[in-house]
Amino acid sequence: MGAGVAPEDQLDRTQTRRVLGRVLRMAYPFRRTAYVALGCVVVTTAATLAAPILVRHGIDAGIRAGDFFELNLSVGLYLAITALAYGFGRLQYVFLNRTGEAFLRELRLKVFAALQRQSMAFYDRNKAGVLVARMTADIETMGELIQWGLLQFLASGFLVVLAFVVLFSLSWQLTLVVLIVFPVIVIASVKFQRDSNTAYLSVRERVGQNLGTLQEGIAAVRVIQAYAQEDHQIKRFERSNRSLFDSHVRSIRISTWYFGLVEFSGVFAASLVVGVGGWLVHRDTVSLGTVVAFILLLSSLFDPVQQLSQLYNGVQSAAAALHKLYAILDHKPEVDEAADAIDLPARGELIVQGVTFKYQAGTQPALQSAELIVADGERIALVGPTGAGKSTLAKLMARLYDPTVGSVSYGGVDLRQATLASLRQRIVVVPQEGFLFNGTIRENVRLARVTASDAEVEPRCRVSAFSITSSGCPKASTPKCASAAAVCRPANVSSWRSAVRHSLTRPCWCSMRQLPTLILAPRQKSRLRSNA
Amino acid sequence: MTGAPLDPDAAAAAKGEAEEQARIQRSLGWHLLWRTLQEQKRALIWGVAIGITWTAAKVAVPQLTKSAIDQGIERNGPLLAWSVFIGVAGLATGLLTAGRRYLAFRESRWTETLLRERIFAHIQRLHVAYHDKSQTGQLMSRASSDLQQVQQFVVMIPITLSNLGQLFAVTLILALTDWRLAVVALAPLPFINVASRRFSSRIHPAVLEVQNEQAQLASVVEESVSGVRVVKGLGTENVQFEKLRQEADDIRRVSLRAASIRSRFLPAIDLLPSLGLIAVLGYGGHRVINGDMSIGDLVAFNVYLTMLVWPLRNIGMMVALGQRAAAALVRVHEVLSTQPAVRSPEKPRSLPARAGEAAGAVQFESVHFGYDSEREILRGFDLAIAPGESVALVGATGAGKSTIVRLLLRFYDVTSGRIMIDGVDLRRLDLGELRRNVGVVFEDTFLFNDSVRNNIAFAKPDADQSVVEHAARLAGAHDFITQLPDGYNTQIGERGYSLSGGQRQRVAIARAIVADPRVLVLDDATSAVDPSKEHEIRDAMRTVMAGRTTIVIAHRPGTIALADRIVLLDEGVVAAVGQHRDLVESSERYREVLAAWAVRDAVPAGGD
Repeated sequence: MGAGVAPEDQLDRTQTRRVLGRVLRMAYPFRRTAYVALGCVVVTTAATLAAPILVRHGIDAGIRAGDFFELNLSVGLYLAITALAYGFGRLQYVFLNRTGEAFLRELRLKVFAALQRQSMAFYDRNKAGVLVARMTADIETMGELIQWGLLQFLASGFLVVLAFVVLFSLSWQLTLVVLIVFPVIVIASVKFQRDSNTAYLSVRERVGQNLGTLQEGIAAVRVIQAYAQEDHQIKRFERSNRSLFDSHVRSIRISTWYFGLVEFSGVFAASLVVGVGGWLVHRDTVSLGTVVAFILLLSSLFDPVQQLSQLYNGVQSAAAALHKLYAILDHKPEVDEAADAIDLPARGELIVQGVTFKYQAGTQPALQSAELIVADGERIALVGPTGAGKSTLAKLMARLYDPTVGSVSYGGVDLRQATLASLRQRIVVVPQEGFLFNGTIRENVRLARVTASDAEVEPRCRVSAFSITSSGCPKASTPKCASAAAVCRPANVSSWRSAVRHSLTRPCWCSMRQLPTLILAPRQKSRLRSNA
Repeated sequence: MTGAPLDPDAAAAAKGEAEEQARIQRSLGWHLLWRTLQEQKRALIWGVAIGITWTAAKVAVPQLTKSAIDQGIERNGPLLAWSVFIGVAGLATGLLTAGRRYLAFRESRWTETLLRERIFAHIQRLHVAYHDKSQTGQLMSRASSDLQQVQQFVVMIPITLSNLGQLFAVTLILALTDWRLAVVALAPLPFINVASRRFSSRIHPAVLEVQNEQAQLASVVEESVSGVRVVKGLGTENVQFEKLRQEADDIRRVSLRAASIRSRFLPAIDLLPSLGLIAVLGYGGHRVINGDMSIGDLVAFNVYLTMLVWPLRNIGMMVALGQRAAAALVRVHEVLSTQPAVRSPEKPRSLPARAGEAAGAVQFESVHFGYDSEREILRGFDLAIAPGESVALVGATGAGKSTIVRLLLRFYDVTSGRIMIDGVDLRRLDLGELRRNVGVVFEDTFLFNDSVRNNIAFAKPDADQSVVEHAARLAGAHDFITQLPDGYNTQIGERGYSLSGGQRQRVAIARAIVADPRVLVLDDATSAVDPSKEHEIRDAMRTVMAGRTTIVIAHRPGTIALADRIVLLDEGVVAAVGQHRDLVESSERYREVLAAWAVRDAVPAGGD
């Protein structure tokens, strides 16, 4: 019951089929392990069902006939089958997870690569949090299914089908008796699955709201105390907390009747089998062993239906997650490499010709008929008031966006015709924000050229006039940027980080690359100039 | 080997003491749960009673089945009656299982709900020093994930009790039916319990490791997405992809490790009961043939054995759940047992009644204070502010300006010296009364996810709309509020409309006005506002300061100029007092401080 699917996320039949088709295609490289896993599941399930049949044989041919050999044979076979079930039971976990994890790894890499291929415009449109959630929460939803649910889902499915086959071959009359109760369980399970999904979603929403109130109450505790409003806030929290409790109780009610019904149906079916079966035994239509086998098999029939209904939500939310992921995989980047792309020449003029650019269709253009020629080796400064389009022009010159009208070319090659690798090698924009990546300072500086040696990194950092020791962070030799918070006192960290951001990384990046073309955002210029 | 650093005996004693300490903590944790559960005694007793009745009905079913087979089928007895009996027993187990489940879940949720409210209420009243030291996230997990652990344990109480009952009853019945067969059949079952316990303790760290690796992958994704401009600008997609591949490989590795733990335990746990069933068929079969037992007994044995599987697994799980709940309860108890360090006195005095304009005299008398004993922030701070007077506090970062505000609100108590409002020492006032009479506009304006109206009326939730509007007008906020989509009812914050820095600040000022305090403190209220917009706030401030004792902490000359008098704070004492022009002329330090702030304003800290 761990997952729930919002109505808007539920897929219709064609969507489900499409998602399923793509999963199979993507899993194709791992088909061998998948087949082995499925084989193991079938063998294990069959072994589970074989047990009651052996008991039946032991009773009818052994005990009731007084035949010790037949009884011992049943016992021996039962032991053998249990050993078999254990062996294949272990293998089914191993292979199913191998397949699943290989698939997930593939999916993670593919989606991440697709994200990285997307243009800046894509990132402008989509919130960072949502994109991160795709790569994390959505894929983890599937991970959970693979780790816990998939095996049970498959095994339960097999079990129901095989159990019916076995029951039918044992006695069609008693199978009909079971079929009186079975639909009740199925219908109840379907209803339960729907209701519990709704209830789960409402609980989840309340949990979120309650956490929000809780968090607010803690974060704002100074304001609350300053205005002596503790009591009012406590009442406010109680309201939200009680409403969470109410929605919990509603969801408990839904499961209460269901589990009661399930338990009743199981025993009720047994009572029918005993009654009708006993009558059939008296008429010599079935054997006593068959009746016993039926009683023992009933749980193999009813339990899987329960499990299926509980796993169904998990499967559904995994499908919904996959659907969203495929949407990213399918999204064609606005700025993409042409099929016949060529490398940019090593040096050349950067020419902006008649460029008009709109961030969104129908809005005011950010640039209009811009013309600019930057000669090889020339340094130019772009000056203008806020909103004049300086940054926009810079982004277009590095092909973070494509112009709406006009063209940008380098060494005579239109940027749209250039390979992206050579483009990034020749033209670099150092953005205004000095974003720091997790890792050591050295790794951050090296970001621009991974192959750089330590000997190359350090002198360049010196050029950027940044001295770590002056920042007041005690362990300064190669502190980790992310763990710096643990090393430095909080007050220092922010200043330390911003110091690193502003004076270290960007200039370092710049000098790390022997770049023909470099575009700098405004703020760092003064510092760079002084070091030039 | 000379000079062993630690005497082994002493080390052992220290260890023993730590264990003793942990034991005491745990018992206090359990005690907390016990007291909480006392309040739900009735429902819990009902739950347990229903659970035990359920056990009886459940255990009766195989007995009835046995009789049906032996007497109904084998001996042509009254088959229909037996089968009706089974059906009735089934109905009873169905109803009872529902009742047990309902009570168990409802009561466990109720425990969680009550404890969460207690934690919240307690946190609300804990002194600010406590909050300064603890992280929001940590307190949050006390009231969420820790309580979840407790809930998962409490829900198992009625279920476990009836499981134990079932275990006991079934063992007894089996032993009475045929004790030899019972011994043989039950022998493998304790291993289920052992295996489930070992499984829980093995899988838990493995699952944590998977989560840990997932978090690491998330941080790579996070930085790649938020830093996309840098990644694209420098063309370093490959570096990030390489990092991600490593993390994806790590996840796969640890997930497969967890899977291998599952593969070792779960099939074994599933199949252990089969060994018992095989024993029943083999040994029991022989006894039936020899005439020592009936077939009905054999079937009943079979059914009983399968009935024991779940209880045994649950008890194994219960141990693991109990350990986790104990750890959680210790942490919860730690929070609840922290006493607020700043409290109202037993017999508080009240402030003298406000007579006209004469209220709101503030007096600091040789106040000493430090957040820790090593470093004193205030070293004999003396200042007397007349009713209705406004004073600007100016000083370098760390001079102690905000500390003075915290002391005035009694977020902290002075180490020595005293602070008085209208002649009454703060420590002799009821905390509520004190804080209702000191209104603060903080540097970082915290607004609640609520309507604009409720945010302004924060100090007086029942205030009339006219009071709210009047405050908003004074703070210069009325005009923009009426422009908002729903006016005063517009929801603001995370899930609502987002206000600009200046707008937020004006709402915060209006909030302070509604409180109608004797003393108003504006703690750097303009620093978060763009300098070009500062004048809007300054107008609002001028209006509300008129005729009210006000302490303004500021560093921009324009804001400083609003005050009647300027106090320069340096090294924890008053370094100079006077008018802006005089101080600029006479105080070198004053000029330095203002110059330092001016530089800071000119180069706003960017980056984030």
